[in-house]
Amino acid sequence: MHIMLDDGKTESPVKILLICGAAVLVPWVWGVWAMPLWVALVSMLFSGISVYLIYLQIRSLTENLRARGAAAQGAQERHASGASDSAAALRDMLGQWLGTSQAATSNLQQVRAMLDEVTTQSESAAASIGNSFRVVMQKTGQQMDDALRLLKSNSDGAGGSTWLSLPDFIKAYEKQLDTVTGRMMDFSKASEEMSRHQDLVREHSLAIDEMLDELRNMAARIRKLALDSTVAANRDQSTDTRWFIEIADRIRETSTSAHELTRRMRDGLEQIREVMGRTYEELSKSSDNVRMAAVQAKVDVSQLNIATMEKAREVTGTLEKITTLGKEVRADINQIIVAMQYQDITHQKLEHIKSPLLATAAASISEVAAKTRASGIKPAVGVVMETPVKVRDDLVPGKTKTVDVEPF
Amino acid sequence: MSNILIVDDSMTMRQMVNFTLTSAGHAVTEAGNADEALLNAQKQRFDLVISDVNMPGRSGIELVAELRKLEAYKFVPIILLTTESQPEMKSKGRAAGATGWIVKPFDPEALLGVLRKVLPA
Repeated sequence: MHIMLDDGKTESPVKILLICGAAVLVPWVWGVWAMPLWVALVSMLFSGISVYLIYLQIRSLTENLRARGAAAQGAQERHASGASDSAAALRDMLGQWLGTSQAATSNLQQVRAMLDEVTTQSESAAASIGNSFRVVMQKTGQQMDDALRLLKSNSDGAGGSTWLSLPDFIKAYEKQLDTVTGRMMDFSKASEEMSRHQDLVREHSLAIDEMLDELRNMAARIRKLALDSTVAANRDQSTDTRWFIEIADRIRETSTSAHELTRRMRDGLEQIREVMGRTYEELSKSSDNVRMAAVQAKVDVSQLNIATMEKAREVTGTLEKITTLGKEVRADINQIIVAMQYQDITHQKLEHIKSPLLATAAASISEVAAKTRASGIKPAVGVVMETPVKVRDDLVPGKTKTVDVEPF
Repeated sequence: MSNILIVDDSMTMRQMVNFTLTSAGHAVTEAGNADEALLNAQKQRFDLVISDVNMPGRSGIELVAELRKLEAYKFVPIILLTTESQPEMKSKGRAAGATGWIVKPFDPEALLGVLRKVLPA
C-alpha cells in the first residue's frame, strides 16, 4: 500500500511509521536515563499507541485525498464526454429545424396555393350567384310588371292610345252596355210614341173620312139642286134658260167630279189606314221585342259584370300575392347580398392573411433555413417532420367544376 | 334614372352594388381601381360615385380628393363604401370631400335610401 501526497508522490507506510515514531520519541528520549524503568516502558508503550493512531489518521487523510482526486478525474472525464454529446444534440436539433423549416415553407406554399384557389373559387361562385340573381330578378320583375299592367291604366300607350285595366275595362264595357240598352229603351219609347201618333192620325183620318162623307153629301145635294134648277128653268118660259141650263150642267159636272174625287180620297185614306195598321202592328211587335231584349240584356250584363268583377277581384288577389311574394323574394335577395358581402369581406381578410402575412412567414422561414444550411449543418436523416396537407377535392384545380356555397 | 360609377377592387362587391342599383333603375359603370375610375370620370360625367377606401394603388380617399379637383365633380355626391369605421378615417374622408360614408356590409334598401337623399330629385 502507498500513500499519495498532495504533490502526487507516494510513500511506504513503514517509512511513515518511522517518521511518526521519531517525531514522537525524539523530544523526550534524552531524559530516559533520569526516570524509572517502568515509567520509561509505559511511556514507550503509549508512544507506540500514539504513533499508530497518528498513522491511522494520516492514512485516512491520504485515502480521502486519493478518492477526491479520483472523483475529480472522473468528473473531468465525464465533462469531456458530455460536451461531445451536447454538440451532437445541437447538430440534431438544428438539422431537425432545417428540415422542419423546409417542410413548413413547403406547407406554407401549399397553403398559399390553397388560399388562392379558395378565393378564386369563392369569387367566381359569388359572381355566378350574382349573375343568376340578376337574371332571376329581371325576369321576376318583368313578370310582376306584366301582371300589374293588367290592373293599371296606362295613358302612355304607343300612338296615344289608352290601355285600360281590367276593372276599368269592365266598367267601360258596362257603361257601353248601359248606353246601348238605354238607347234600345229610348227606341222602344219612341215606338210607343209613334203608335200614339198613329192613333192620332187614325183619328184625324176618321175625321177626314167624315168630312169626305159630308163633301160627298154636299156634292150630291148640289147636283140635285142643279138638276132641280134645270127643271125649273125649263118650266119658266119667260126667261132665257139656255145660259142657266148651261151653268147648271157645269155645276152638275163639277159635283160629279167632286164626288169622284172624294171617292178616290176615301180609297186613298183606306189604303193609308191599312198600311198604318200594319206598320202599327209591326212597330208594336218590334217595340215589345226591343223592350224585352233591353231588359234581358240589362239583367244578363248585370250578372255577367258581377261574375267578371268577381273574377277581376280574384285576379287582383292573385296579383297582390305575387306582389307580396316578389317583395319577400326581394328581401331574401337583400339578405343574400349582405351574406355575399360577408363572404367578400372574409375573402379579403384571407387575401390579407395570404399576402403579406403568409408571404412574410414563408420568407422568414426560408431565410432561417438558408442560414442554417449555410452554417454547414446537415439535417439528420429521418428527423424531418413532414406534415402532409390534405387538400379538399373540390379545391383542386380542374378536378371538379362544382362550387361549394355552403358557407353562405 | 341616374348614371352611377362604382369603384371597388372586389368584383363581388361591385356586382352586389351594381345589382342593387340596376334593380332600382339606375345606370351603372364599374371600375376596379382609382386610376380606372378617374379615366371613366373624365370620359363622362356621373351623377354619383360610390367608392371603396382600401384599394391597391390609390385609396378611395385619394380618389375623392382627385375627383374634387375636377370641375365637373366639384358638387357631385361621392359615397365611400368600406369596412373601415374608425372616426379618424371618416374624418379623413370628409376632409377629402366625401359626401357620405357607408360601412360594409351594406343593406341594399339602406343604400338606396342614401341615394335618394343625395341624388337630385
